[in-house]
Amino acid sequence: MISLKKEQKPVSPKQRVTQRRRLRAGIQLIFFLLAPSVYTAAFSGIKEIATAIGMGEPLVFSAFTSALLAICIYTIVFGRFFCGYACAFGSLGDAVYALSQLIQRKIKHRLPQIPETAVRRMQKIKYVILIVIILLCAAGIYANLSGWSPWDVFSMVTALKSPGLSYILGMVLLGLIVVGMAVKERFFCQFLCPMGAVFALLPVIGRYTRNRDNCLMRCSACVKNCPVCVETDADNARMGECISCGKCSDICPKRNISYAGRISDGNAPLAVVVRAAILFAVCAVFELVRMI
Amino acid sequence: MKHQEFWMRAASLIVAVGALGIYQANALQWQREEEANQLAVQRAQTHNAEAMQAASDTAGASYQDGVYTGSGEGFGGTVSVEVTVSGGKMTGITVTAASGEDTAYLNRAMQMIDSMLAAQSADVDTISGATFSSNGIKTAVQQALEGAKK
Repeated sequence: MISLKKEQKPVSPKQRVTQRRRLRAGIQLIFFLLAPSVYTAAFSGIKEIATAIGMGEPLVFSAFTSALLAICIYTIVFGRFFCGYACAFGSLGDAVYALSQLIQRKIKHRLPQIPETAVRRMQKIKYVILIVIILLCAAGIYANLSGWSPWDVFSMVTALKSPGLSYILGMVLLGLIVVGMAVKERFFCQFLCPMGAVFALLPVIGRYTRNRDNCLMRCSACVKNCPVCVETDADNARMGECISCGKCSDICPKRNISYAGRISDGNAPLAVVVRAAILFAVCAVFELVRMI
Repeated sequence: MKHQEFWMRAASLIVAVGALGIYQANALQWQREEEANQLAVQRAQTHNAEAMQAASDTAGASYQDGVYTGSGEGFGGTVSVEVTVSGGKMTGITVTAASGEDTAYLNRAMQMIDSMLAAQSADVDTISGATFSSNGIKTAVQQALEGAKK
């Protein structure tokens, strides 16, 4: 009886989860400090293309469109690792959520959770935002809207520059987004981010996949731990939502979630560091790394 | 089919890129026609202007020769420029210091320099997406030109 129990009890993943959480936070901090403008540069690439099409001008290889292209190609090859480990806005969201979780634990009061069906529905909002912004750019209206963009406010704050009163609308929006980030992990990324909408539509080669046959009965630790409610089955149409944070692979008691069909322990530290180094090199080549 | 999801996405991506390619080919064609048109207009204008050449020669020289410096507030600090004036015209603008700007954004904003030289003025459209760096360069050039005024 005892031996049977021993055999069935999986390896406690607690320490592994802590180590990997620290590694991820470290990588996020490095990207936050050294390459905080990649997201806005790539997003400006989209806006630039839409604006050029609106005016009937030919597309040009600018700093922004080439950054967009590079990040998209990286995402096709490695998955949305950029979202999970490098995006400044995503890292802000993780920091806000971690702080909110800490406070919730301390005061022993839990915020209500958004039900999964609602999460799935809300994940569609970002496509509407993307389309609206593209249309505004193409119509030439976007350039005249000033002071509303929460990203401008955020980039000014990270540059230690105070946004003036003309940015009041942007500041209010950023404030609301931060509140959302405290309630739901990766609130902005999965519900609102227009770049996320682009990434979610790309075909991805380097993705996480769980081997369903090997799973423990009624475990679903991966889905419960997933910030974007994705089951990493091979045929899941919602895999585009996966931000490659690897939290599923970290928590899996059987280390049953592989990456790109090659790395059996999908979020093994070495594999993560290699992916981060390649992404950092891409950012450096496109002059998006800042010296401090 | 295995990886059906992936191939559907890949096919959509190819369609999207193809559409952009078709657009690009058309847009380049429109640009060529536009350029040919402008060239014709320019030729006519030069022809008309030749008669008034002498007058415009003296009027065009609105700046005093020399090298002038100016600075403006960019994204993360001060942007400094050097403006060269020779023969009464602004002939060169170089950014001498911009430590607070991200390189990709600064490079983008530097595209304004060509339009400034063409317009012989700092008053050109800023580059969208690099508004702060653009404004830094614009203010700096304006300041430099203040010093170059006769």
